[in-house]
Amino acid sequence: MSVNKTAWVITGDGINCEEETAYACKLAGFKTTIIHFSELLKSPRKLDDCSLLVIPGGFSFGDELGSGRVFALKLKYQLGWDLPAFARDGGLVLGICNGFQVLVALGVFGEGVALAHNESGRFINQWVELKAERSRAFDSPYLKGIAAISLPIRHGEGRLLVSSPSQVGSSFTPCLFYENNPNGSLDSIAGITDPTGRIFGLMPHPEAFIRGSQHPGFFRNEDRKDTVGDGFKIFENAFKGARSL
Amino acid sequence: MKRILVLASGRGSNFKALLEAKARGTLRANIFALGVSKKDCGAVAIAKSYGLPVIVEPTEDVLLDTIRDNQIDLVVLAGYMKILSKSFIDALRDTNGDSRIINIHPSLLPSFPGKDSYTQAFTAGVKETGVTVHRVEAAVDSGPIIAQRSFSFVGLKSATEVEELGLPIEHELYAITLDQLLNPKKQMHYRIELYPKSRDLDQGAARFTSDFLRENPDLDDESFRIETAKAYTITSQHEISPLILKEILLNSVLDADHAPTEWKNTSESIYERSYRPGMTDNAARALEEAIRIRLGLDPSDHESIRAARSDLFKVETKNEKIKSRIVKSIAHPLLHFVKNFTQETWDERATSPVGLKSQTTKPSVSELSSAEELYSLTDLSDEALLALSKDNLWALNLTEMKAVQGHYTRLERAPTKAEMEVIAQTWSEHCKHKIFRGTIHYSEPSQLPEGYPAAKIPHETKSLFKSTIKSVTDSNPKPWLLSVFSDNAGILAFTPEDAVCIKVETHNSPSAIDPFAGAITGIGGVHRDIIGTGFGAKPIFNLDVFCVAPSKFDLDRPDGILPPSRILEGVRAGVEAGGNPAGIPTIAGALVFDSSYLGKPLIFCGSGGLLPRSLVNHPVVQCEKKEIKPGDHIVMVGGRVGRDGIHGATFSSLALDTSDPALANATVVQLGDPFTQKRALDFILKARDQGLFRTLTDNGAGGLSSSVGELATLSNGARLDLTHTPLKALGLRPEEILVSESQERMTVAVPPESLDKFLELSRDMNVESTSLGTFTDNGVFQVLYQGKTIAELDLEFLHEGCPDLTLSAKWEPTPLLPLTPKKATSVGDALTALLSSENIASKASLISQYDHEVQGCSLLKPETQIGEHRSPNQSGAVLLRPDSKVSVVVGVGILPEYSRYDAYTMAEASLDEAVRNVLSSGAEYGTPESVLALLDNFCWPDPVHNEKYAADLVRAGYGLKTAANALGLPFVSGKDSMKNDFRGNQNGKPVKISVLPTVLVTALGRISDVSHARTSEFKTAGDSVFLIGPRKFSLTGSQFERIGLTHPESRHLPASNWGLAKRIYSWMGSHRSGILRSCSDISEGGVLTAVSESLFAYGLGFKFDSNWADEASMTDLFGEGFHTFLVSVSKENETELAREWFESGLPFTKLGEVTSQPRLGLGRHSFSTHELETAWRSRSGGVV
Repeated sequence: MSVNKTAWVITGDGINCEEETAYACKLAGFKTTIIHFSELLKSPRKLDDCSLLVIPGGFSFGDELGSGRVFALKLKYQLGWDLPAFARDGGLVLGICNGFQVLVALGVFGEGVALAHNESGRFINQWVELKAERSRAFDSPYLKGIAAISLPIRHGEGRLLVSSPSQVGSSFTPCLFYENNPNGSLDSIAGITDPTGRIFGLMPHPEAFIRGSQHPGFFRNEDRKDTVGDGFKIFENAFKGARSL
Repeated sequence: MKRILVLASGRGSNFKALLEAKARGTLRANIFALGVSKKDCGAVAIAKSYGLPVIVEPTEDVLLDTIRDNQIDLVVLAGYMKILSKSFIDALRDTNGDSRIINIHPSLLPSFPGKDSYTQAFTAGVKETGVTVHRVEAAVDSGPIIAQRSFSFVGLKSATEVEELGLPIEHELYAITLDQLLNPKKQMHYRIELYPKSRDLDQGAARFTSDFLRENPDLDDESFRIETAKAYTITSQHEISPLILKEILLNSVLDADHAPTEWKNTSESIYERSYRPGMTDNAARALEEAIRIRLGLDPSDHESIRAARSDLFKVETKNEKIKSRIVKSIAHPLLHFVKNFTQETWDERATSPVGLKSQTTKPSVSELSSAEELYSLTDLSDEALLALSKDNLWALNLTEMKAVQGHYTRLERAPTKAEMEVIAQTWSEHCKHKIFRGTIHYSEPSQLPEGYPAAKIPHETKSLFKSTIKSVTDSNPKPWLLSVFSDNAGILAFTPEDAVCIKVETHNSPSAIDPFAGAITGIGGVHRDIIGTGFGAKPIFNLDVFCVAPSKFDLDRPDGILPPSRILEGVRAGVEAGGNPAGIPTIAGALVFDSSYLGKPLIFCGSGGLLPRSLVNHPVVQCEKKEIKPGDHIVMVGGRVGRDGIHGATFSSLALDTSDPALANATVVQLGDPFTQKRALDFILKARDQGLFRTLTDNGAGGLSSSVGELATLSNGARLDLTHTPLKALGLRPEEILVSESQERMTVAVPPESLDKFLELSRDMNVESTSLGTFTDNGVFQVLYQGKTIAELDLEFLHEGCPDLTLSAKWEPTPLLPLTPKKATSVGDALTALLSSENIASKASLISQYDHEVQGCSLLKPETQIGEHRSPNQSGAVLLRPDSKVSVVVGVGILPEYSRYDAYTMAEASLDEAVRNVLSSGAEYGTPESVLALLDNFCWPDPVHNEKYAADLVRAGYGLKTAANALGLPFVSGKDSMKNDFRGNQNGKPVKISVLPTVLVTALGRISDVSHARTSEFKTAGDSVFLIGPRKFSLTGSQFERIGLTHPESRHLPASNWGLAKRIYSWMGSHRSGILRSCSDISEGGVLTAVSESLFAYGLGFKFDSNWADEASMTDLFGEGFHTFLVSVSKENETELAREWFESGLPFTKLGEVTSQPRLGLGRHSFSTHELETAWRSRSGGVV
């Protein structure tokens, strides 16, 4: 019997990683659709038909007025989607880079969380080493079996800050950390989940390391035969943990 | 509807115009009656024909009664010759005390009041006059001005002609102004300010401070302190609660919405910078959209909410001089207003919004036609023709002006302003490439000095483009060439399903003035070139090459130009802002430092695109086919037209002269809006896949004038109606709309049957698209505005009528004198100096700020980053799709240093470098099916009146031809920029700075499988390292000489050997070379630099074989030259490979072995890899 798990990859308004993100979802086993925001407005869809909702990376609204904020308004007021309720019902939500910024702006991780400009003031494209600490987010499916991974970061606003330290571990749970904090994030945080563990937001790009050849170290292999990249594990985990429709 | 009473005494032309405006709906008013001071005047008949009551010769009392009894709102004078008394005027004031009597006067009051104003203006010797709408006060023509409109009457011969030009302007201005006065919009103003919650969150201050210090290298950050905040002002017809504005704008973790108390106490040190109306203000557009989303308004309602973003700067310094420098650099005079606060204005700021005031307090009057203005050229002298061209920034020379004069004399009419603008844009050097198409007479001495390679150059070249670049492509036909030189970009078949296109552009002049804006529009422009190629392509990579002056000139530079470091940071930031949000990876590039780029930097922006080779449901089916049918709609897609970037094409066809006010006043600075462009791209690709349009092109240089003018050649005609062009701001004249280079716009030919679907999809995807007429087949490019024809150009004259140029070229090579050192340079010192020199040092600080991974297809990136270490790569490569085996690889070659000696060698070397770069990375070469193509970009000092530069140009053209023909590689696209000179002053003396004649060659190739791709860094200890190639190096023109090192070795330019090159490259381009573990070419800095750079990524070492090390000269170690590669191979393959190279006739030399100990050993010398890497990274600004 075939498993019916669907992934929706949202795009439009300056999102720009939808193709490779959809490719990763498809490879992991999802029935995957790239949905342009304008299609959602024209023929509204219910989240009941979705197992994994992905908001990919990009520059929605050119990062004007703060990254992710205007796109979050669209999700909230034009679609009226209730992502925490979706997660409580077993749906998975993955926000990558700009998608993470959108989730933060939506408030799914609480009100007092922000992704500010990197401490250096610069956009950074760099491969980074990451540690996963599942103990803190043991309910979360995304990082099962992952201890350390390499992924590229590509962002100007990825510095996680909170208005009060007491939020850490209550309105959200950090679970992915930089080895060499590149952007000045609180506690080197690179990724967090909501209290259900089913909404996951991260600044590094797992969809950019699906094939081994995407890593700069690939060319050291003598035969240069392509392999599976570290980031793919996150999509495989999402597939395993996703509800079947 | 409000009521007006019109008073007239004459023929009633303005009265008639008001009636017509009412009929059209542009004047929303009830015209109650006409009062006349003369019972038989012309106006009476007009009133009767409209069935309007006429009040004949009324007294003021009768008028007052009529006005009161009938609740007349405004009294409108339309040529009323009776002077109104003060008591009458006072009786008709509104609650603000303003006069309710309005008049129109045919001059720019206060100039030329009273009678016969057009005649007064004509005889006064001014060049322009205008019309004024004002409130009537007792003193004649002196009441408060409501609206004014100017027009130029250069070339007109009588006051009657001036009046003929002025009347339609009067008519339109009057109707628009009255309409706005009678129907004021209900508007509410809001203002919200955002202050960083802590100083470390004040990115605006950090950015401003670092930019300011780059611009003022004599200061440090101790001497001043900046704080910034953001302000948004909103004018809305809808009520917006402050909570909603906070929800949209305020990030509670990062921002506060009230000023810290110290701001209030030091208001005189606070400056507010806002955009001038009509300038691109991306944050404001995003806010308008956010408010529409939040309030649930119609997404296409662009009018009811207007926002403006401004920035607040608090400037603290004890030094008044520093303060004035800071204040000056806050704003760009062409883009911004700056307001300084006082205690009082600071307290009142919320009630008097800054950015919007100028747009809302008085009716902005606009959209008027001065396009019917004529230039009578018939009897003009040569001087007058040239003066006319210069005054209007047309950049047409005398021969060209005379061709225009002759054409219009034959037509027996005068050209309109709009026609002259279209001709000037189309014939500009920027668009027409007149130099490349002209005839050049060339001479050189019969005997060349020693050290110069011989080259055969013809004495006469008719069209350098056809004789060199195009002739190469003609004589090297390839099955995979789908489109060359005719489209926006060359198109190559890559797989049976996929085609790839590529284009490289320059944006030099705009980047000299505003580097950020120049570069962001440069990269945005080349993306549109790609989007507009064939039936539409998706950009899949960027490349960028910057040529700037070394930072040592930051303090030593002519007046009026920016410090080189500031230019570099500006263009870097511009390419980042244009490339990253577009979602296109930046994978290749180069950075060249040379003092010759101090006056004008060279900014090359390139992009490659992917398109399906055919789409069955598309009207043209084949990707490369460009076709338009008469009746197809001209649809403008994307951004709106503004005042930004008017005259860019003609401006870039002139030298940069900071002392010329005509140039200084041109509104040439454009701003980019990558977000709007990204939305437009998403839409275009969707519309393409649904087959909703026939073809398209971008709006770049020359705006609609060029895009429609060029597309019109496909159907042989166009009828362009500018009336409904969406505008960023009111006040643009139609000929300005026609030539504006406002960004983010595509011009699309849409078949009539698809128009509705096309426009609907566009609306759904939040993209503005507007039909602006149709393509025709009558041979005419016709332009209309508000029902009138403002240009009617014969397409053949427009595109073929530009006279050919003739240039004279003379080459006089200078002898290569020996450079004998006072003291011998040590190998170690030379190596460290080279690795840390600007041209060779790591570019990590630039590269890491560009996204080179987006789209998930990047295979080869600019540098190999392993943890905290990096080695440079030779070229960039991306897979066509995430699931594709095939990649496209792109590399560049740019070696302008050789132009100091010989542009022929420069061109050959640049081409060789580009080709070696892609071959190093695994590009295929050597069979007819191997896809490898070239692009040329010439950036030259003006060769028109300079025989040397003209000779360099000819030599470079033939240098490229020789090399490309020998290798059998076609050119597929190219561009030239020919006026890269700067004239200005330094230390009170005039200076001229011309760029080195510079050719950028871009090579585009194919890597058929991931396993054939390779990087340049050494991989593993124990691997053997070889040089493959002729090893004929030279220090002449090398980086070694560039950084001032001297040597006793003989001086000669490196010589090419294309026969040998073809053999070597055929092996490098075959599958056999897949066995190489690393490969790079020997280029800047020579063998020792290449070896050093290969060690960094994995922290390895290298030991040169002792026989090589002992005999090596400075030329062997640091010399540069043609055709040679540095490769590493695993030990077990070494013997077999050596045999294979020998049997294939490839010269090779074993250099030594990779070691695990991180040291570079060369005979008695030994250097630590770590120290070499530190030197190489000394300029990377701490970037990992």
